[in-house]
Amino acid sequence: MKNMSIQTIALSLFILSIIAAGCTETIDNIQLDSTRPRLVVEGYISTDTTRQVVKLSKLGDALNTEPIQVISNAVVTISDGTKTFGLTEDQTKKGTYFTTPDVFGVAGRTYTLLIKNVDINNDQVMEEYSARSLLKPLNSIDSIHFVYNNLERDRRGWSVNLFTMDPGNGRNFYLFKVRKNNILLTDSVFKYSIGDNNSFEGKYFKGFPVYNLREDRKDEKLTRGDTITLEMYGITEDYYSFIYSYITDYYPKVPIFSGPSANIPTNIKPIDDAVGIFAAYSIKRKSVIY
Amino acid sequence: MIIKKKLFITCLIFLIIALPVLAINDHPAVLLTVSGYIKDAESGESLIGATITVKELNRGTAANQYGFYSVSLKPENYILEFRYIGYQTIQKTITLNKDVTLNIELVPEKNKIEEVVVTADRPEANVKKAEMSISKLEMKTIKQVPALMGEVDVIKVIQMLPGVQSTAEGTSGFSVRGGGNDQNLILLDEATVYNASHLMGFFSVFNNDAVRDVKLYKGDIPANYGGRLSSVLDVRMKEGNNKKFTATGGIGLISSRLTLEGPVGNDKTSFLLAGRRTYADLFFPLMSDSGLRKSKLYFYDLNLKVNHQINDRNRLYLSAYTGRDLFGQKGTSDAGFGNLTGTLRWNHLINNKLFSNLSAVVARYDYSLKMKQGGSNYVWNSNMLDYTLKLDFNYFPNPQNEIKFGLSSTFHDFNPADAYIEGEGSKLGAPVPRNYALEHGLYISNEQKIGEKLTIKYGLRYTVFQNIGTATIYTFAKGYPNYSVTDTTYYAKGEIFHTYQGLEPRLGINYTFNEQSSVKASFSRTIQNMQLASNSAGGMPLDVWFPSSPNIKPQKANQYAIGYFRNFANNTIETSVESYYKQMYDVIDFKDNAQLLMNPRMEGDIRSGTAKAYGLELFVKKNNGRLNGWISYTLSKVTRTIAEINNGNPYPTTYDKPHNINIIVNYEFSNRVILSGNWVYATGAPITFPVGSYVIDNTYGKYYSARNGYRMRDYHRLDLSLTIKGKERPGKKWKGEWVFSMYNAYGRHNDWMINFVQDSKNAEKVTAERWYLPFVNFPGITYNFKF
Repeated sequence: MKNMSIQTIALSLFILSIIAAGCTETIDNIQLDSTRPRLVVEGYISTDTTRQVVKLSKLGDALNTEPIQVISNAVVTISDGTKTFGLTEDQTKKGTYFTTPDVFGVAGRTYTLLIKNVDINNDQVMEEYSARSLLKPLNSIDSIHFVYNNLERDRRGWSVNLFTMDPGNGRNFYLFKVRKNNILLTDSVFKYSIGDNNSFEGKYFKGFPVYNLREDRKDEKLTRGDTITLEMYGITEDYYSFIYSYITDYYPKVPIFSGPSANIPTNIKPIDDAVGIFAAYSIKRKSVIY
Repeated sequence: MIIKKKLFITCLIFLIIALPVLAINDHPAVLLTVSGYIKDAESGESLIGATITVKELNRGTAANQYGFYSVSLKPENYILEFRYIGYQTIQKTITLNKDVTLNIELVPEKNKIEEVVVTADRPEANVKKAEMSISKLEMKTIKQVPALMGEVDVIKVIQMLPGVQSTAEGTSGFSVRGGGNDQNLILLDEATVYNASHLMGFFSVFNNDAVRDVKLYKGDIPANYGGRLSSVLDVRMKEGNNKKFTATGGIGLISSRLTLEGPVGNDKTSFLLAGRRTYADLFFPLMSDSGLRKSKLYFYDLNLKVNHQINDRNRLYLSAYTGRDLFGQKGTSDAGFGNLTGTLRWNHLINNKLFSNLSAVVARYDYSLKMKQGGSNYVWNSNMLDYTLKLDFNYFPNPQNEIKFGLSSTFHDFNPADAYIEGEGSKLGAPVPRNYALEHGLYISNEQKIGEKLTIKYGLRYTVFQNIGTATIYTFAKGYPNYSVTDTTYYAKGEIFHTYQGLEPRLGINYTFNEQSSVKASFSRTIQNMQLASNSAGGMPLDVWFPSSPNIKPQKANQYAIGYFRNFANNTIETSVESYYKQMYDVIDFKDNAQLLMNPRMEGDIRSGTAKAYGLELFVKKNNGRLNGWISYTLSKVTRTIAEINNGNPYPTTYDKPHNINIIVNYEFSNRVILSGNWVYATGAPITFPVGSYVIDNTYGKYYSARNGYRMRDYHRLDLSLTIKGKERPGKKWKGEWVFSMYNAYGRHNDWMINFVQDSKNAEKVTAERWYLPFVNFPGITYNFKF
C-alpha cells in the first residue's frame, strides 16, 4: 500500500521545522479578491443501512469570515439506475438532506446524485448539478493489531496494523477512520488516513500500518480495556484524489517542496460551477479491545 | 511546420557559409604553427582563456579549457604577447621558420590592488570576443561576496548575475532568462550534476577551494554543449599544484573544509584532494526540542583530481566528486541523497593545430528513505546513472578560424523508485518502472574572424535521443482533468522503441567598432530530452529525472539576443546592454494536484505547452581599483501557455520577477582589510491565493485564483562582510584571513511563502501567515588559511 505521500509530507514538515522554526507572522491586512458564487456539495452513500446524507452550501469568502450560507429547498435525489431515492431537507439542520433510514448502497452499482431547484448565481434561472460514483467492493477486516513504537519525530504511540485481502481487479483505494470507545478520532478530513493497493493488487495486507495513535494525545492514548474500532472504506479514485488534495492543501506550503496551489478536484458537474464531492463506498469495521 | 521550415532554412544558411570557409582555410603548406600550454608559474594550473596576441597583426587567440593554444602564421618574425588578468604579461619574440612549441608560465601579480578581478581574460575581451550572454566568475570574486553563515557559494553568486533569478530564497535553484530550474545543465569537470544542492539548497555541491573556473552560458550556448534549454553552468575543478605542496582550508560556523594539493614525484603529476563537512547537527543534542536532539542533519563533499603529463602531446586527468546529505531521526527515519561523478580525460595533441580530448564520464544521483512504521522498516531508493563517452577536437587552421567538432554518447539509466519492506524479503515491487535511454550528439562550429572588425561564430549540433527497453509505456486517453490509461506496451531488453532527433543551429556575430565598443547578436536553438519531475519552486531531493518518450516530446527553445558592449576608463569599467527573446516549445508542467512521487503513470499527469520569455539586461562592472564590483538590472517577463492549466490562459511562472537589481561592492581599505556588500532587489514572486472557501467535514478548503494570479511583496536584502587578512612577512608560509559576515543585515522579513491556515481549535477561523527564513541579521564568521 502506498501511503508514502503522506509520509513525505511528514518528512518535509520535519525538515522544515528545523529550517524555519518559529519564523511566521500573521498578515492582518491581506487583500484578496472574491470569485463568482459556486455550489459546495458533500454527499455520501455507503453500504450501511442508514440515512444517507447530502449537504449543500455556497462558496464563502477567502478567509471564511462570513457564516456558511446553506442551500435550502433544493430537490436532491440519489439513483442507482433502477431505484431513485429522494432526499429531504432536515428542518433543524438547514442545507442538510437525508434519505429515509432504510437506504443502503450495493457494491458494483454506480450511483448518481442529482441536485435541482438551485439558483446559486441569483439569475432567477434554476441550475442542475450531478455527480456519479461507483460503489466498490471490499473484503472484511480479518483482524487489527496494535504495535507500540516510535511514530514520527520523537513521538511514540501505537500503529494500527491491518490484516485483510485486497479485492484485486485493478486499482483499489482505501480510507481509514478510527474510533476509540466509540468516539470518532478522525473527525476532520485532515485527520483521515488514505492508501491504495499499489504493489498489493489482489494480495494480502499482512499487518500493514494504516493509522497512528499518539501517546502524547489524551484522546488517542491507549489504556487497557479501550475499544478501538477501525473503519475501512473502499473508495473510488475520485474520492481518494479529493482527500489527498484536500489534506495536501490543508498543510502549509513550502517553496522547496510544494507545487503550485490548485483547486481540489471535484466530481460534481458542471465542474466550473461547483466544488466538493459525492462518494459511494463500502464500509467494513473491526473492533478490538486493547 | 513553420518552425521546421525555419530550422531547415537556418541550417541551409549555415552550410552555405560554413563549407567554403572550411575548404578555403585549410592550406597548411603556407603556414607554420606556434602552439603550447599556458600555465600559472606558481601552481602549474592551466590558465583557461589566457590570450595570445600577435603584435604585428593585432590579432590573436585564447587558450582552450586545458590551457592549450595554437596560432598558425606565415613564416616571419613575430612578437607574441601572453596575457591573463592578475598575471604579469609576457612578450616573446619568435622567428617562425618551422613549427614551434612554446609553453608559457605566467607569474601572478601579487600584493597589488589590481589583484581583485571579475573576469579572467584580457581587459577588452568582453568587447572583442564573439561570445555573448556569458558570465565568467573568478574564485577570488566569488569568495568576496558576503554569504549566509560565511559559506561562500558559487551558485549564490550566479544568482546575482543579470538574467538569472533565484527560484526561491535560500535555494540553489535558478532560472536563466525565464527558463525553469530543470533547464540548466550543471557540469562539474564535464559530468552532469543532477542535483546541485545541499541542505535543501541552502548550499551547493561546489567546494570553492576545489573549483578553478566557473562559466555560465545564458544564451549563445556553444555547439559543443547540448541537452538543456536555457543555460550551461560549466564548473572546472583545479588540477592540483604541480610545483609545491599546499594546503587550503577554512573553519566556519557550520562547516569546515580542507584542500590538499601538490606534485606526486615530479612535476609531471599532481593531485588535489578536498573535503568539506557541516557540523551544525553536533549542536542538536544541546537543543531544548526533544525532536531536534535525536535528529541528524549534515552533508559532506569530497573532490579528488589527479593529472599526469605523459609527454608533450599526451595528458591524463582523473577527477571525481562525491557528496551526500544525511538527515533523519533516530529510531523513526533515515534519509540521504547525493551525487557521484567521475571523469577520465585524455588530452592528445594530434599535431600542432589539432587538439583532441577523449572523456569517459560517469554521473550518478541517488536518494534513499527509510521509515519505521508499525514495526517494519519501509525502504525507498531511487537513483539515476549516466555513462558518457565524449570526443572533442579543436582545430586551429589559421588565425582567422578556430573550428571545434566532436561527438558524444550517453547511456541513461533511470530507476525512479524501488520500494520494499526491509528484512521481510517482501518487496513492494518496483511500482515505477525503470527506464533506459541513449543520447547522442554530433557537432561542428567555427569562430571566424573576417577583417579587423567582424567575427562570426556558427555551429550546428545534431541530437539523437533513443528510448530503450526494457520499458513499460502507457497510452493515455486525454480527459479533463485526468488522463486515463487505455493501453500498456512492454518493450524487450535492448529494444530501441522510440527515437527523437533534432538539429540545433547556433549563430553569433560580433562587430567591433574599436577597442572599447562592439555590438553582438546571436541565435541559438536548444533541445532538451531529460525532464525533471518537480513542480516545486526550488527543487527538492526527491525530484526524479525521466526521459522524453512516446508520450513526452523533447522541449525546444529558440533564443535571439542582441547586445551592445562598451568599456570605459582603459577597460577598467565594462558595461553592456543585452536584450533577448526566447520562445520555448513542449515545455512541461504538471496538472493541478499532480502526484509525482511513486506514480508509475506519472506521464499522465504531465501537460505540455509553450513558454515565452523576453528581457533587457544592463550591466556595469568595475574590475579593479580600491572600489570594485558590479551593478546589474534585469527587466524581464516569462509566461507559459498550457492548454489544460489555468484554463489555457497564459500564466507567469513562479520565477517571473520583472525587476531585478543586484549590486555587489567591494572596498579595499588596505591590502589587508576589505569590506564587501551586496544588495538584492526583485519584484515579488507570483503566487496563487484563495478567493473563496468552503468546509468539508470540519476542514477548511480553499478555492483559488488563476494560477499565480497574485504576487508576494517585493524582495530585498543587504548582506555585508569584512575580510581581515593576516600580515604577510617574507618567509612566512602560513596565510590566514578572518571573514565576518552579516546576512540580511537590515533584517527584512521577506516573504518565503504565504499560507492560509485554519485554526486547529476553530474550523471557522482562517488566518494568512507570512513565512520567512530565520536568517535575519544572521552573523557568520570564517577563518580561511593557506600554507
